[in-house]
Amino acid sequence: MTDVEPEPVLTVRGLSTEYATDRGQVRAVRDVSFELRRGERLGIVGESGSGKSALALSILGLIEPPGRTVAGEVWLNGRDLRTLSEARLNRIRGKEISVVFQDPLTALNPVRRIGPQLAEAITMHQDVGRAAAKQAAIELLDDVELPRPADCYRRYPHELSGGMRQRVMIAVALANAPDVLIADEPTTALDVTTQAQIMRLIDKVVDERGTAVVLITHNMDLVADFCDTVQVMYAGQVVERGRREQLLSGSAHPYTAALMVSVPSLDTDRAAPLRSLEGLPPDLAVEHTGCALAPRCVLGRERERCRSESPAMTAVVGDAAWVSRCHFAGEQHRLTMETTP
Amino acid sequence: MSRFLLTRALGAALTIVGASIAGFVFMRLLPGDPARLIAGEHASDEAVELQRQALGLHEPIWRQYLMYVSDFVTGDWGFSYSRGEPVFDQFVNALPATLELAFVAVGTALTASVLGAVLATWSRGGVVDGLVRASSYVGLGTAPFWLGLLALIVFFERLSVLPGPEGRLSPGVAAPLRVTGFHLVDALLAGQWSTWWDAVQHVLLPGLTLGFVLYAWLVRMIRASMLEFVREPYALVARSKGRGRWAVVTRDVLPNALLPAITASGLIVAELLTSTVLAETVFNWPGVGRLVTDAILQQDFAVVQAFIMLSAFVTVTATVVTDVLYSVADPRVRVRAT
Repeated sequence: MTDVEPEPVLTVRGLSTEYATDRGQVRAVRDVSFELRRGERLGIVGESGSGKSALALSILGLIEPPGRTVAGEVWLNGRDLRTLSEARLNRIRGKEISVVFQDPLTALNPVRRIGPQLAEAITMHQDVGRAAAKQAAIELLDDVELPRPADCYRRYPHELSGGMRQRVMIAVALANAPDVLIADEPTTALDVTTQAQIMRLIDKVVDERGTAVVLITHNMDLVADFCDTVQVMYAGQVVERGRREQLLSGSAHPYTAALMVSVPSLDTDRAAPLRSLEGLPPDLAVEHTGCALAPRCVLGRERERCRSESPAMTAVVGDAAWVSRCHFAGEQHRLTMETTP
Repeated sequence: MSRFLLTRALGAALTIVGASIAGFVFMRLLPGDPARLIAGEHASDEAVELQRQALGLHEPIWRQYLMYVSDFVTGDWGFSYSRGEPVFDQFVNALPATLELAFVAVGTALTASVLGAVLATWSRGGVVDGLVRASSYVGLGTAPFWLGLLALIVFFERLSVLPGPEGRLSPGVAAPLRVTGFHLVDALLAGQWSTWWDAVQHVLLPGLTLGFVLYAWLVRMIRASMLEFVREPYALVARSKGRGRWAVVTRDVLPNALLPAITASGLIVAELLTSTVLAETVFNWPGVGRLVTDAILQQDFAVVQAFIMLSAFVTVTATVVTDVLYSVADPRVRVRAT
């Protein structure tokens, strides 16, 4: 990244999404705000159920009933997507912002050939003929390093491996060189070797196109390798955001700190039990007072303020870009620094 | 693919042979003596015995079966004593009538159910979806013959816009020159427009009555699989590419949802030969269903047996065609089969 901050290409403000369930409204995304600059790579981390995927769909405006985005703004290239008509959104989705989903095995239509599924992504947004679209599609398949791309074009999804299908999905997402790519757990369904290859591929193709990426994952190692900025989500809220080095080495939120120590590494003492956060994530159908993490928090479990007062996002140490939703962010930061070798 | 076709065809042939044996044996095991029936109630035992010899009923049963099969293949389907006509001729007349009815019914049912399911999926949970579901419940919960009677009362008796239960044509209207046996086609070939229009009017009520029941069943099934497939990730991916809701339903979801519908349509066609009987009775339609029910009541072996063969043939053919169609439509099956 350069020293001069480029202008934001995607700005999310106060985005909230609810799902209607038998037990009432479940608020999966709570007042999420962030900015993504041109070419930036933002990692969104959290355990399952923390609202990461719901956030991705909310940004794209693809929340389906019983879900509903109830508040917020999503500014992309100077327009608030939340105020646009469905017809205009269809012209923006896939062109200026696109997405790669978790499971490549179900992401392609099983009764249609690979080629047309990719080529239609081009013809939907660009005024090109069939032959030109096919040519462009084959070049894209070559770009994502599929062997014999012209042959792949004629294949059905079930004839390709999971890793190959995810390459196809990446080609689909990048067909119109979008400004923003949302990668929602793009490697979770793949084996470890394939994971590394797919992440290298994403790294290469977004670099070539200058695409800004939102990488949604629960995998801290991926974030450490790939992202410039990290945003940690818990119970639908962003709890900490900062540059990668800041969060990885000196987290100022107890939840981020707990996520970090729960990841085993080669240096981890194998005799010692893996450390994990005790308890369960809060029930999102019920409104809570105080900090959402309080019942599970090492710092706040016993503190009255954590139980009664909901913490706001506050700058951690001087740097306004590093924020934490913790009453005792400074204390946690010092604690992390002491315990991290 | 050729091996796939060959194994299916072989299996089909064996099924038909099995059905012919089963049909033959069952008919022989049934109570009632056809020889006595033909000779008459008060005939002497000698006369009945003579009739029995004439029918070949004194032969061992396996020879009777072989005789039956060889006759059947050469078009000699036996003689129907209850109507005094060769069985083959009866079917030649009745089958096109039933098929004509069936084509109209299946055609409208398929068109309407695909359209209904697409609209319902598009508006899922909305007003249109509710209407489609309601129409399906009505069709499923109503007996076809009662529906037929109701349609007659409304369109024939009250509104007088369509003809009553007079069969395939109005009395006095001559059937067009027989080419295919389908009045709708033959009248067109002969250029007899008034006859064609008369045949259309006559087939409407029974065809739509039957079609409505099929529609009710099909639309329910297609809608259910569409609602399932619309939640599949590839539907979401299509949306994320910039495709609208309607286009996702018709172009991404429908082709997948039609796969189970192909199977169901095969079953429907196979069953139509028999399930038309109620509609045929209500509308006085001279089709196969009525021919066979009459024959059963008259213990007319030859007709019933021919029908068993015919329906085995139709069922097996429909199943094989369904299998082949399915494998064409679903690339995943093609791989497994070859």
